[in-house]
Amino acid sequence: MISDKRADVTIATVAAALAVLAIAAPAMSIGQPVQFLATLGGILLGPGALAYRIATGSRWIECLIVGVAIDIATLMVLALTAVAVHFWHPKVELIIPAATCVLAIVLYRRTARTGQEGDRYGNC
Amino acid sequence: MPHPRLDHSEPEVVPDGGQSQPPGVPVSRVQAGGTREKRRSLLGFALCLAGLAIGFYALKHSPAASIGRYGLIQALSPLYYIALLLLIISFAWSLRAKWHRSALLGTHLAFLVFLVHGAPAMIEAAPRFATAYLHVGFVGYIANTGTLLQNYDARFSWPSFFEGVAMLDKVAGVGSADVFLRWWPVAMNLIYVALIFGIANGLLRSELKAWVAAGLFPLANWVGQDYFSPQATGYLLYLAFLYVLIVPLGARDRPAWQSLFRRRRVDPGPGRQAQPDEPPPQGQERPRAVGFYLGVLVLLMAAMATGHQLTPIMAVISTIVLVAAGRTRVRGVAVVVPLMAIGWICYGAVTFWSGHIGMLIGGFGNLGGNVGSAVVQRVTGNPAHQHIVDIRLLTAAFVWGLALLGALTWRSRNGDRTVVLLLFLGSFCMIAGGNYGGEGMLRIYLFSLPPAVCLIAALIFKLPRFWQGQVALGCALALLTPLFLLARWGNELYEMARPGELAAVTKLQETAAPDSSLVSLNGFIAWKYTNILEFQYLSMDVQTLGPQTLPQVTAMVDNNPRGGYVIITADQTEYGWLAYGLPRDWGTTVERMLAHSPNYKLIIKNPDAEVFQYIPHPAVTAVEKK
Repeated sequence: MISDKRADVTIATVAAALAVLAIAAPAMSIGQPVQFLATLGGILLGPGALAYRIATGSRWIECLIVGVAIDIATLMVLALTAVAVHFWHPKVELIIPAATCVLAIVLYRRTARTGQEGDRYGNC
Repeated sequence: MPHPRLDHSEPEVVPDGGQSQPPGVPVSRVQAGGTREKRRSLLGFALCLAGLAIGFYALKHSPAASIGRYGLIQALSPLYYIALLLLIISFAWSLRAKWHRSALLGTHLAFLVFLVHGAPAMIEAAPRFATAYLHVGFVGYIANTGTLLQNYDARFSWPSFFEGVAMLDKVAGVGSADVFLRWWPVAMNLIYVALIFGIANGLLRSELKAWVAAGLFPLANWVGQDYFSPQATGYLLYLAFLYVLIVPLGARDRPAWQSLFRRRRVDPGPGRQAQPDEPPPQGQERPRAVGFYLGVLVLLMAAMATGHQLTPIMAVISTIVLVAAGRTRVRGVAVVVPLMAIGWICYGAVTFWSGHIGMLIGGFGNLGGNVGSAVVQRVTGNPAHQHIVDIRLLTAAFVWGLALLGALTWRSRNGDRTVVLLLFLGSFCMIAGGNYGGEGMLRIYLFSLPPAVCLIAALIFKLPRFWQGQVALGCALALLTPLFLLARWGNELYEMARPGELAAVTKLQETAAPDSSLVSLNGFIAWKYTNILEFQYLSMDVQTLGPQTLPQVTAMVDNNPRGGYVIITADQTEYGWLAYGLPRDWGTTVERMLAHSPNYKLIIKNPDAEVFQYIPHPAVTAVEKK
């Protein structure tokens, strides 16, 4: 069984890598289907799952499943707002993968801190 | 996740090689048992992989040309049924597994969803369903302009789904949202099943029962609302909303009706005391998480309220039921959620209801009329089509009947049965609100499914022996399989999109002058997926054929000085034959009428479609109009 800490680091790394690719792909015109898959992955494995994990400490499977719904809802509300305020710049969507990067860093730091505390008390 | 108490009949899960050692049992026996369990699970994995491989091969060798009046079932290779049977038997058998049970059962369900909901995607040459193509057009318009067409279609009053996909499309650099169409139902159902498992686990407090409920869902969900559409996404958000309310924010409080009538009973807290033998609901030990969950609920509700008309209403009903039953800790959502739904209707969807208030509330309370339009009026057309509608009704009756039987026989502690039953009955409230274009019963069925599969799972576990439950589950799934294939894919003859039709529409859009009229004989045509404003798309509703047909067609195209075109596709002719009972060759008859008229010139022809250009000759037109 994979430990919680290792799972945190693995999923945060994958999410962050996808998010970086999702941000870089439109800017660098990487081409299809990589750009499409990166953007889709950047949304589906977006900040929802990471935020859920950080805030609630639930199991990853729960975080990932509810996280998909959160990410989709975020995209819908973000796009609704952009159209409502006549600010149709679709790259606003890149806020979502950017948030993933920030949350991945938060999760890394928290995992590292927990690890250090564990080392100090010899129970890591 | 909460830790629902396992049933006495529920096999203990041994996560790591089956090495847990009960006291007093020799190590060698434990190791032998662990090896046996491991072997059982590995055999389960092998069986489900074999099922997938056979199913994949069968679908690849099922010809789309064999799709007939009973739909996809006529095209499916016999091997496909063997694959499904293998998966079903293996799934029921694997319920006993202890070694990596969740992974094993989850893999079975993923493969089952792929095979049953992905069958047309594997068989048909083009992604299916005309309405999905229309949604692609809506998305394309928003992506290119960043604005809405409020008066064009009611769906633009609930636009967040289209806007979200439009934004995604632009950033992803794809020219059209049609890339999503083919695998959208499979993706949606995979997430649905995962959420159904979570909800059932929360409601039934048993992981095993939850697996049974999740196993029933893919074959019980025949309503076909999972295509590329706001309702498919809305349903996903609804299930996530329900999950957050029931599981992380779950409670075991006294129901409102008990508090109302039994106030004098011992009541140490303001109705918030948990049962002493209950584990604390998740999140209770993490008060800060409650704020996050509330934020998630508000976000999900905001997306639902702005994305689809019906889903937020069902979310409101379910919230009220859960709050009244004391099954959620956040009672304030019973106020906030309805306010959000009503708020959007009042302000965001004002373009839709101003002037059409009758459409919005006209059917309210007209129970008989709504049921009639949802059921009776749909049983029409060709006998084959009527059989498909009958099978749909039969499947719904079968699932609902089993659910009610489950509700009657399930003796739960702490009112769990009442909550599930109320959620089940709550979905029927929608029929009082309107008929939703004759689709009211479909929507009720869809929203009743989560509690219904829970009740059926409870019914299955009422059987005295575990193996009897496994056999009952296998039989129920085996019975649901042909019903699903007929009910879900029975109309595939006109619901599939043929490559020739799409090619004809694309060529027509390239050749026709802007603003010209494009006329179809009925509404079943995959078009408007690009340039929704560049042409006037007009759909006739030819239900009878006779001398009046040509004048009717001419009247539609004649009024536009920019020109007119009549497009006849295989989808339209099959729809007219099956749904309206027109002669099988009625499309050919209309084509012959147009070909013989000097006013029409055949400009595009392929095996799936014909396009006639209208070139008026005043004298002939006057005669034809008569």
